[in-house]
Amino acid sequence: MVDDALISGIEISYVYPDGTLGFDTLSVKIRRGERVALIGPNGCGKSTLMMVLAGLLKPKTGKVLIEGEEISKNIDTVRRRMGFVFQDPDIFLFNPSVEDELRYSLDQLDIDDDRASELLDQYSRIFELEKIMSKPPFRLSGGEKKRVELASVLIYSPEILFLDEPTANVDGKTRRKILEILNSYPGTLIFSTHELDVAEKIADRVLLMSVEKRIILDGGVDLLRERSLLEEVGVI
Amino acid sequence: MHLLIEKTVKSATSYFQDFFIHEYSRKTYLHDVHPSIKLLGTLAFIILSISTFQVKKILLILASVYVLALNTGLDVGVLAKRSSLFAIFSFLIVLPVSVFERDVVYLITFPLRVFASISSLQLFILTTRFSEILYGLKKLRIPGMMIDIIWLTYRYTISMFRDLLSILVAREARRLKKTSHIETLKGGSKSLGLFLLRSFEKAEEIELAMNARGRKISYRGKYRAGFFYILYISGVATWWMML
Amino acid sequence: MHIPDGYLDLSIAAVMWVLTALVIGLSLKKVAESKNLNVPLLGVISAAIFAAQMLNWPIPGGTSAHFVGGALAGILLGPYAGSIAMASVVAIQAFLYGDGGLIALGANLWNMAVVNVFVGWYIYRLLERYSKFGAAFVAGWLGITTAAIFVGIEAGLSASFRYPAFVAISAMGVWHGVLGLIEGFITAGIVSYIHSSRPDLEETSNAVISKVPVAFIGVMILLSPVFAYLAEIVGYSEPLENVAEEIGLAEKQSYTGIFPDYTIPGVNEYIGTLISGAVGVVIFLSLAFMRQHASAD
Repeated sequence: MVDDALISGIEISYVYPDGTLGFDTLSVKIRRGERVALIGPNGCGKSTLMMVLAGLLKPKTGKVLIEGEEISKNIDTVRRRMGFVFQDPDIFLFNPSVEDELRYSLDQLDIDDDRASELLDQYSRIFELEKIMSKPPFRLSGGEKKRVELASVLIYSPEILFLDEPTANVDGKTRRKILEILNSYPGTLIFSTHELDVAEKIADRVLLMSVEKRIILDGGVDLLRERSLLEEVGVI
Repeated sequence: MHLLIEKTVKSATSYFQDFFIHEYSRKTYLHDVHPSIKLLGTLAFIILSISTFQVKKILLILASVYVLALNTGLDVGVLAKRSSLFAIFSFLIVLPVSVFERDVVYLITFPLRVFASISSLQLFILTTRFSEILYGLKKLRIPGMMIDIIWLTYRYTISMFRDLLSILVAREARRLKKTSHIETLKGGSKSLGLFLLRSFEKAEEIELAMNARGRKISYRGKYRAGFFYILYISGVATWWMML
Repeated sequence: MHIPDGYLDLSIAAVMWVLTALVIGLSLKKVAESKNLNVPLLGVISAAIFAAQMLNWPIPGGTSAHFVGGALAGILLGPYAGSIAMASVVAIQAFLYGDGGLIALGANLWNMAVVNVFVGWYIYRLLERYSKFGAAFVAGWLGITTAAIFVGIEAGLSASFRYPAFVAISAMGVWHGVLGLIEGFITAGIVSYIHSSRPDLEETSNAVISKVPVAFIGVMILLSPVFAYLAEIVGYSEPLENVAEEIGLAEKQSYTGIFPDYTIPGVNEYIGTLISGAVGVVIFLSLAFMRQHASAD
């Protein structure tokens, strides 16, 4: 069989500098176009695993491959193919205004002015940001921050999208908006959540992590119906 | 930017390994001696090692420190390893002047003094928890406010470092092209600015929490006076004077 | 930048301890009086500076540099609180890692928590009206360079450290003058980021600071090399040996065995041997008792 994996983590583990275990040794393969939900209780290593798979953190052991090549080798080109939306918008958003946030990626990609303002119009409309474009991000509400965060990543159309708890701490309206957008996202999607209905609506594959910081189950969305198991692991 | 993160993670890992070196589980006589006494004893060892250039006196202190460590069951190898870096560094530092003055003895005695005094300090560090050190300092009349600040600094360093790391990683996640060293410096210092802003906010929350729980930090401990420790050091000091 | 024990003469180290105790003591008093500074804030911000020091900045040539943050602490917190924050970090480095000695800790605190912070802060206040970025750059750069020069002065004046003062001073000054550019650049980046994104926060540290105590500390900083020099002149480099010689304890003959071959002029040789034997017994017995009590409770 030809390896059909887009991203694969082989025998990877991560330990934080202060000695805390991020996640224990595991192997995982993500195929092109898959929509993977990482579910598990708090502190089971979902975010850390995503950061390692995205090449943001170097695994302590093992290696991460993208299309068969070690991710760290081509990290600069890999970056522009990927988007990573952090759980905490306050560390993700650091530019002086919402408009600057959206432009931040476009500037790096040297997109010409006409095309850039076209994209700005389009994405500020999709994410309903028109009225807050000149505001500083730290002045916004939680839901607004989340929309800015998503917009500033999706604006450069990454083909692989990582999202860390995309619907945590947002109101119902923003939540519906986010689900709608993620449903129409065409690329490979990897996200963490502990809200089962979010996983059910968006994912086509579920990875269940336990407090022991390992992947204990890997399968289709029907996994989400195993109530007693999920309860035992601590997801619900 | 990824280079900054990688290098930092690597160096911080080795740095944090030492962070908990005090969290010993075993108890030896030395662990039980009152931290103030141990601190004064350590100062005595250091003063004795650096107030002489006579090889035999320095060797006496060095031997006394290592015999004490060995006697109390400490890993002497660890002690020597932790003390050797600066000694080697000092050797290299004084190498030119020793060659210039054709003074081989100085080339030996200078790093040896440094090695002896660092070994004394490391022996203290390896047998005293950080909170115990602060308790000892407090008993030695160092202002309580300074002690509390030092304790909180120690207490929050790891969580602040994790915060800083995730801020850097978030910036790296938004990097879409190769960056130069200068751009890393620029982006990195902006990240630090954001980090410090968040630190101020966090500090406010922690202050509120501390107000709710009470502001007093208590450092407690039950220690022995360390009679034999004092006796040992007095004996060594007398011998040092007689040499 | 951290001076280990063994580099400084005791007399110079003692003078630096006295100066440091005065300034840090004054700073503690000022912070205790202040309304918007408090212990948790200083603890957390010190931890943040400590964490920031752990960053390993890649610089051309494959090596790396560290950010120290003395000037930044002064700019963000004001000179008094800034010096306390740095003192906290330097103390932890000494007591946790053995970075810098204990006898030399006074000098290390003086260089990194007093000189770096006060000089950096003062330069920033002097220049900020022209450009915040420029002022912070110069403050970070010259703050650290001045601190390094003080390291050179203290070590250079010490007889234990054989290099002539001008060699030590210029080595430290030139090296850190170059590395300090990075410190300046990072300081400037941080300050201008904070200024541009939260101008409202700016004023917390800019509370009015009365001139007299600052001028007093400035004079102390300027005069500290003179004090160090005077301490050295007093010829105090090996006081314990001097004492030993004066009370006639020091042995005048050559060393012959493991235990001191001891005689006191004009005293019975028998008593001398007795004393040296007693010393040996005391050392041996105390070791034995420590060992015996090792596993108690």
